[in-house]
Amino acid sequence: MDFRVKLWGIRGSLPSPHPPDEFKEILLHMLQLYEEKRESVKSPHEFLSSLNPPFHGGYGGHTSCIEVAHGENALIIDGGSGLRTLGERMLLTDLGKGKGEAHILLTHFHWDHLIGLPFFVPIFIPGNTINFYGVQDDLEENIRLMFRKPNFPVNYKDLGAKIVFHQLEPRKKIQFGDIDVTPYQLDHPDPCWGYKFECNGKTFSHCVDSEMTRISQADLDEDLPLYQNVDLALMDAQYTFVEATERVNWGHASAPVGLDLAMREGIKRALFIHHDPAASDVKIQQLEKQTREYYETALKHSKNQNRPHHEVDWEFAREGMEIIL
Amino acid sequence: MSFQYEIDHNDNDGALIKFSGQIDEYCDFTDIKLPESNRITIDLKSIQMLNSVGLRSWVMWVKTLNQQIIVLRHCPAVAVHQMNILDGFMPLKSIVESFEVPYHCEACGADSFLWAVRGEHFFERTADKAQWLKVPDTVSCEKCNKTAGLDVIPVKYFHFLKSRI
Repeated sequence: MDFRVKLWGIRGSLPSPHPPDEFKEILLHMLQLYEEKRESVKSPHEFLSSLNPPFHGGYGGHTSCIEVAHGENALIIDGGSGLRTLGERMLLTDLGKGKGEAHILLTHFHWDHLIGLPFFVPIFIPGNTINFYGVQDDLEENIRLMFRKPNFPVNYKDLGAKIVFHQLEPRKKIQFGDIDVTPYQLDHPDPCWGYKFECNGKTFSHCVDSEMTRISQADLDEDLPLYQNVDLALMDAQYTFVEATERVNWGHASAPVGLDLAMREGIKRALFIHHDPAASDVKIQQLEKQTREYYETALKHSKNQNRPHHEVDWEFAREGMEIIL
Repeated sequence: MSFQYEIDHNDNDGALIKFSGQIDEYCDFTDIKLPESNRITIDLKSIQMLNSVGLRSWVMWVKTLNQQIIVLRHCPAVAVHQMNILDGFMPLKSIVESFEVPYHCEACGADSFLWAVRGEHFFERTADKAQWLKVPDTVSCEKCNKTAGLDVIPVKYFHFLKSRI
């Protein structure tokens, strides 16, 4: 059985679909490129695979929702707009028959992490049980808030599924079958908690949303294990480096800061998410390119100066990616 | 080597502050007390490493400086790379007085460098003038006296000279 992580929503702050005109421009550009290359490529699929993300479907527009699973044992992190599509797929399981159970771990209660909840179909089906987990003591209050007239036509009391709330203790491990989960605090204006998942000797850390103001080992202190020697980490890269220095206390970071932390703490693979809603796919790609230059320069200097460092396999993540650990 | 600084109050018409060590997550600029002056010169010659976390602290600190002119002296290659990659290293009111240009000798493998000096080897782009650069393509190797070639990609390394406005 594989321990896997699937990214159903990785956009920050607000869902950001491609407007039709922008989509048309991309399509036109792709067709022109295909016209130029059609003699040299074997198939349309090979052609698409050769394109950069802006012309290969982009990075995605759904907000935070991540699935972590080992076999049939599945956990969900956050209920952003990506939860709607995950919910549709879950209808193929017992949740579609009113005999299933879902587990949703929440990092915090900003809208972009909750707006998919009213569109998570299994929550309306009688017989299902939906478990919500969070460190914050106002977990139930914030979930109830999502199902209230006149903001949403179905009141909380009319939901079909049984809803159960579980308050987690900071930095205390809990077990979901064969997956262990430990919450660690992140740096965000309203309290936000990352999660470290351990299963089959592999580790995955969800470290978003975070401004990463605490970086030194002393400052991170009891939250340091979230980053130490993990196989995969999701990290915050909403802003460019300069934007992050201008938007102090906005709660988000730039990729180079996450990379420095990853190189120091031995994170094997880092995926950067929470892309800014105002950033076009082209801008995100440029940001990734700039980060690549930063990383290669940092690595070269570390090697030249014989300073300890870890090489990191990293990229800016796209919605729909699935990583097998 | 951890981050250290030394302040000299008598550098021409302003203060001189010399940084050494690593500008990273362990360096703290907040306790630096600078004398009142219109100009400050920051000597970076002994900076060995600079990462994004240190740079973030640097950018925050530089914003707090009320001097009208900030002169960056002896910018090592590690700082030049950051100037080119991460916008924000150089505040708008800053001038690069000198920076390191690395060379490498293929014959003996030794590295050399030259301090490029503003007005002599380069001038940054301004509102009414294009940048110019007159650093030699080769220098004499300090170790074997053979020819050492430029050890950077010019279009990338000298990019900061034209990105000032």
